[in-house]
Amino acid sequence: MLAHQMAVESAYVEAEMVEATDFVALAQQYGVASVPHTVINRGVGEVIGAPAEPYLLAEIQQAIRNAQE
Amino acid sequence: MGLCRHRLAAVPADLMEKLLNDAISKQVQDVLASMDQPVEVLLFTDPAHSSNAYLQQLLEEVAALSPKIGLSIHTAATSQELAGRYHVDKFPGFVIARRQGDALVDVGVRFAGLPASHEFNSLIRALVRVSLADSGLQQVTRAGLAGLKAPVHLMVFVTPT
Repeated sequence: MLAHQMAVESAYVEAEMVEATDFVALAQQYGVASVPHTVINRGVGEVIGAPAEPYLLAEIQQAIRNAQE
Repeated sequence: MGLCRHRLAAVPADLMEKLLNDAISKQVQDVLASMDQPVEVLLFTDPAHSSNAYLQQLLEEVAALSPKIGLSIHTAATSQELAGRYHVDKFPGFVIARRQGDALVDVGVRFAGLPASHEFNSLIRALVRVSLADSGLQQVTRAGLAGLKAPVHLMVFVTPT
């Protein structure tokens, strides 16, 4: 999983695969309607679908910028 | 390499046969043979959760396929300090840490719930990547991640298909 790869690569990244059917309330809280659905920094950003490496990286960088504004 | 949740669900918890058949076990064993450094899987259980027994059994069966995988099992309710140290807050959930001598290095790889179906592949790949300390990412992605200066928390919601 790409998120796990990023965690292995960077000390700043932690990545958790969440089985949506095991944590239904949490999935609902984040509006998960299809999978995979990636939530960045607890809702600052999100990616729906399986992203390519550059796209997920860009969304992470955007989420960090959004949080700083 | 796959694991069918529907078949799992049909097996009563007190009569559980092996989750991984011989053919899958052999495939997994071959993949895990590429591991280098030992890893430790820390499982935090929630006996009240419907996936708990399956997850524990799955991890026990996988850990038995490589001498480089250690497994420690903790009851979440009585191991809150340890779970907190590894940022595990969904139970049952587990973390894959790299073992360096007597120390465990948390590289930030976690799972919440049962990685069934093709997510089972994600589990096996994660074990190998943590062991090798190799993300397998493209060079340009590695360079981008090297520029991070703030913590990033990713939750990837998946579901068995």
